Amino acid sequence: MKPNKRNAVLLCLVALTLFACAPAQQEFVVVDQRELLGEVFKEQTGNIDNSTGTTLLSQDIALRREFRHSIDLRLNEGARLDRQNVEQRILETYDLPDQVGEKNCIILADVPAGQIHQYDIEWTQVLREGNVEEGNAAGQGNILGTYRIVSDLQCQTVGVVVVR
Amino acid sequence: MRAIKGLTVVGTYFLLLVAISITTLPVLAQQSEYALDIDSDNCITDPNDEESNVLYGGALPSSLVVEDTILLSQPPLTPDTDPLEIAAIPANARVIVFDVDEQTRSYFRVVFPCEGYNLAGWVAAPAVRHRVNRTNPKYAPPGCAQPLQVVELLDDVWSSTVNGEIAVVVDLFRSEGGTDYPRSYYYLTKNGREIRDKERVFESSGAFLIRSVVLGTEVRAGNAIGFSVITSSTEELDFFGILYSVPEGCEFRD
Repeated sequence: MKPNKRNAVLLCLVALTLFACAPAQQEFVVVDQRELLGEVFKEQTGNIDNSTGTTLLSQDIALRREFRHSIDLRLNEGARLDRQNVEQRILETYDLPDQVGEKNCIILADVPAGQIHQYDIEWTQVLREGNVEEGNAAGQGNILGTYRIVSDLQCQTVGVVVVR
Repeated sequence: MRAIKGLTVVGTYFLLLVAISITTLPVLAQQSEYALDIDSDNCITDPNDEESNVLYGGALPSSLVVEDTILLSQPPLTPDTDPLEIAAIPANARVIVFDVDEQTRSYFRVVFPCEGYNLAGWVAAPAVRHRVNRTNPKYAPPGCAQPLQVVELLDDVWSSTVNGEIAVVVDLFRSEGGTDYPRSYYYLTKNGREIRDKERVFESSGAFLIRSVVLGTEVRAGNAIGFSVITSSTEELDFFGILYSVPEGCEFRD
């Protein structure tokens, strides 16, 4: 056998052995359990200026916020799972195409004539919590881990600052 | 003689009919066709009065109801869905729109404050002057969930009429925000015992403390289901809940 051929055969054998001995990934299923409220954070709008107006300025203002569907995944020791694969499956479970979400928030601005207002907006994370379970149907296998994912945001106005 | 006897019989029947009508009519008149017997015409606001258009301290903008509509427990997503009609909402009333239903984008989830109640449910989108494309989508209660009853007070207790899985959708408000409401806990109770493994933690500076939270549990007929908030605050809270029976195979996520 020529050396090149022999090397190729050897390489194939090594590759086959590695493939056969590599720990196979377990089958798993993502099982949603419940909704939770997560972190609460605040932001302030820019100035809503009615300083030169002569009547009440009353209008809805649309705010848009991008956020991450961040996943807190806690796999048990010994769970033979690829973390990235599990995270992808969690996103799919909630019909989330990727880890970046977007939220609209409409707030009411009522600014009297001659005034400038800013609004305090409160955002609250909505989380989903669940289990990663062995097998391919819920409730049939051991729990391999747990997760929480930021699925949504809620907003509301919580204060007004009269700038002028 | 026979004629007089006949007249007496007819007269007696007539009197009996009148008596029955007098006793039953008021009862029938009291029965409302909706789950809540409120006079929602009292809740029409004056469009020229800017202040009456601000609901819950302006936590979210209010929207005008442009045609008479009915507040439902859920959108009729399937032909088999039988929503509970909670109350009539007249044209020119105002509601706060929270979400639009994810599936059809044709029903808004709203809260309608009226006569001391804070009624939360679903209305047909065309009945409200509010833009669908500026509203965040949310999964509505599934069509297979069967609405049982509404609960308007936090200390109400519902005696179960069913065996099996139930779900309760709850909203918790205060009249306006602006001050911190401390970290608090909401639970269902069964026969007076808190179901602690299903607690919901909340804290907010806003008027809307809990929005459309779903809690589920198994019940047997006669079980007393109650609602509990553990908090250090003494502030009065407004509450609204809808109870659903969730038949086997029907998925209603907590």
